[in-house]
Amino acid sequence: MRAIMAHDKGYLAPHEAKIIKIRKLTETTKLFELKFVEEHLNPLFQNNPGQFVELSVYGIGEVPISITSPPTKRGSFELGIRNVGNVTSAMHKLKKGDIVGIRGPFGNHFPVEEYKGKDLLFVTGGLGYLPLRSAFRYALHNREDYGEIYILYGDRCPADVLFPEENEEYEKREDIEFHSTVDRDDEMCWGGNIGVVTNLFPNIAEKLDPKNTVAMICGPPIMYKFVNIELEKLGLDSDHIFLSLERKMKCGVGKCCHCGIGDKFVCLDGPVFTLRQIRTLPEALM
Amino acid sequence: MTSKIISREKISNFVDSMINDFIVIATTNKNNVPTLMEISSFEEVLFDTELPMIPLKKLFHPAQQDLFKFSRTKGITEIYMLKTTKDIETKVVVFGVRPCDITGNNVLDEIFKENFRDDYYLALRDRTLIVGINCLKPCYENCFCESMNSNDPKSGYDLMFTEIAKDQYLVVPNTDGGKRIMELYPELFEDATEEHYDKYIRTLELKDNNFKKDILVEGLPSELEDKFESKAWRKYTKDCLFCGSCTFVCPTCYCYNVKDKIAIDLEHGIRLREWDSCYYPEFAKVAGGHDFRHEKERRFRYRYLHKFIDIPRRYNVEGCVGCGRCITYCPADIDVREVLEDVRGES
Repeated sequence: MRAIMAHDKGYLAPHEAKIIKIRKLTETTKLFELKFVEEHLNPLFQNNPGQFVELSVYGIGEVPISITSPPTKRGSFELGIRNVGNVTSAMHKLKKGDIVGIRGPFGNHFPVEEYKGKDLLFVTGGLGYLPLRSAFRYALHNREDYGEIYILYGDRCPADVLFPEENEEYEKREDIEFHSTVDRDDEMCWGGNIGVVTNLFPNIAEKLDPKNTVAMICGPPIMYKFVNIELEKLGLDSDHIFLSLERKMKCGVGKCCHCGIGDKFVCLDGPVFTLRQIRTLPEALM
Repeated sequence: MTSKIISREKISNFVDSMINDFIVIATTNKNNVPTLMEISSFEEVLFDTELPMIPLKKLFHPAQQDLFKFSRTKGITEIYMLKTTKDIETKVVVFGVRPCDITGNNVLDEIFKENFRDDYYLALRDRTLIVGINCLKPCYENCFCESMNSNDPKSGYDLMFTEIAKDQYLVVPNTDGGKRIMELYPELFEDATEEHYDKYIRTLELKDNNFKKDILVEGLPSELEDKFESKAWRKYTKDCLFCGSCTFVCPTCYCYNVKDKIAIDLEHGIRLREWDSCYYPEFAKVAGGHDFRHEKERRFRYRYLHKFIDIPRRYNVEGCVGCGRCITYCPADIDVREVLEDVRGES
């Protein structure tokens, strides 16, 4: 999908966007709903699942942030942001009505639309939930277009779990198979599975049809290593396993060179790659 | 024949005439460093000197470039892009560019045009005419342009001067812009005859004999791919200071960082882009502290693989032009030719 860019301003100049809603997701993560100040841009902004924007907090800097809202949300969009760096911590101090800068959307996307008719398996760990949410919300919006839908979600501890009320809804639904787990539960408040996300695979192993399933995964590099092993054990083809990679990105359009892996730029050729592609890229999963 | 003859003596008139009509940039002596900058007279030109320390790229992709002014609460208040576009009424001529640097700039043209056009670079590039001077022999011991096939660019310049006899140059236009420059000063040029043309052909044959290949680039990408784990990378990593000098003087290094500079009122500021270096520790580090190229060895290796595998594969051009600047300006005396030889030689 085409990125909104005003060429007369130069491609590194963002468009002003207003924070219209802030929702606290966890102690360290907030969901920001944004709208462009120039009204005519809002219908033009169309994201595909897994794409990202460059977010500017003027005076602090610009960082890539994946879009949390699905393509079906129009007129405004959501960014789930954890407070981990300079820009994100400045973002967390902003209030409703404050102005930030947005460039994008950039990058390729999870091929949800392209695999209509297939079974979909979503696997996510930690903050990887936020970009992947855009993909599975999109699939759920068009539920009748897909076969089985599996979602496996692992996080560090109950306090870090994102969108618990949405997860509860998935758990109740008959037409989705949702499983979640946490690495540890020091406060003894969880009541669900304990352990890493790969522990959830036995729940679906019997039902899953590897020849008809497309996997979309998003999480930290270490999770990919173990999840890939599980997926191949199940018999999924490496062409049907899609992973989103994180990298430092300054431009979003393949010019600043920070996100280079081999002859690919994560911002332009990714962030979503198939496992087969990733195996040919040196240091992709480090 | 569109090619013309000019004497060495008249070249100074040619440059001085151009100074009246254009902004003329050439290699001059600045604090004993050969530097590309605007000149006001031919006398300032280091005509026979090899290469400026920083290549052509700095004219189109400045080391530091302001992008826009902002207010923290309101957003962008002024765009510098428009200013640059308005400023380009006057054409710029770069005089005396060597073939390797022309080839190097062709690499950047390719990169900055791929997929998304980099308007900042292209606005400056498109207003610039390039006058080349042919090299007839290797200009110094660190030159390995012949190995990198950069000695005979087919495009990326408007005029090329070749010395076909002592103090006599054949001037070959390569674009309409080049022809128009020559038409501005007809009195300085003579028509070239068949005899001049024969001399030109003989000169180019001599040139061919004077250059030898130091390293073979044929098959280099796949060979380096196989040597990914070579111990030689570690050996040179120990010597490297990770100062980034090689990246700044390299004609094909272009990566940049984007930063905000805030004024003392803490309200207004400027966003700028500036050269970065993949040798710096922060280059691939993301918020939260994860560094995708944490080990020095990986950073050291990345630059080589990017030049010799990734750029050729992605853009269909050589990623190194063999100008030898990275050898000349390396404080740790690392020689790219030796590194490649060592990596390749290891089983």
